[in-house]
Amino acid sequence: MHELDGELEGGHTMVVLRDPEQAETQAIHELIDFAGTDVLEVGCGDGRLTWRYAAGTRSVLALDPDAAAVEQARADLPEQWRHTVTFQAADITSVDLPPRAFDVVVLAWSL
Amino acid sequence: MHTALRTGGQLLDLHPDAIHAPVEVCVGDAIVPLGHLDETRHIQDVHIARAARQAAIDAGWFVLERETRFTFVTHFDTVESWLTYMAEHVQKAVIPAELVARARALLPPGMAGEVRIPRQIYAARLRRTDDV
Repeated sequence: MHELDGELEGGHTMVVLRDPEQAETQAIHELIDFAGTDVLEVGCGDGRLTWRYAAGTRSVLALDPDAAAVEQARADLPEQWRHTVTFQAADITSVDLPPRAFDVVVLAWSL
Repeated sequence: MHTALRTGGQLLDLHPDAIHAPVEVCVGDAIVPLGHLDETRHIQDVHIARAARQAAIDAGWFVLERETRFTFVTHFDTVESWLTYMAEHVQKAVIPAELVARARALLPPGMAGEVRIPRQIYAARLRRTDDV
């Protein structure tokens, strides 16, 4: 489940489930074999999509200009991925990327 | 991004399709279509992004290998959760007032049910070609 919890005015709890049917996970794994790859993700937000493919990759550099969302992604980063997944608050149009460093680039709902 | 990929590397382009997403309310076994979000700004951005991608293909940087579409459903436990989420995360969309009114009437506070947005997503795999 990919769940967002929050608190609304008046103390009510907000529950949002994003694609609990896992349609996105199935689709991306049908398109890309992520095993052993170095991945650049553009527009990672809070890491919602990252969690769906990070297992088995060699490395992930996930970027988003929204610093608060990136901070949330870092906070949610599972311990077993701390050496392979890096979240960075950055804009793809200005960030300095190493040339020919990635096997896969993911444009994650990034328009 | 082209230069960051190794030759033969893959680009996964994943984004909501250029359509106005529908909104539904589910109560019990009933699914009631409310109408559509106004996603004019998003649709414009999709057309701009696809034009840029086509320019990269035309320039010989990438080849399009495969396209697919699927439905990504976001579920909200209440109308207020839906409205709060939209305000915080989907700022390009405009929610017509009549949709909100219908949702509040169908799913008043305390009633079990949910608001859903079944959004069509476009996904494509492109491959970086040899240097041009």
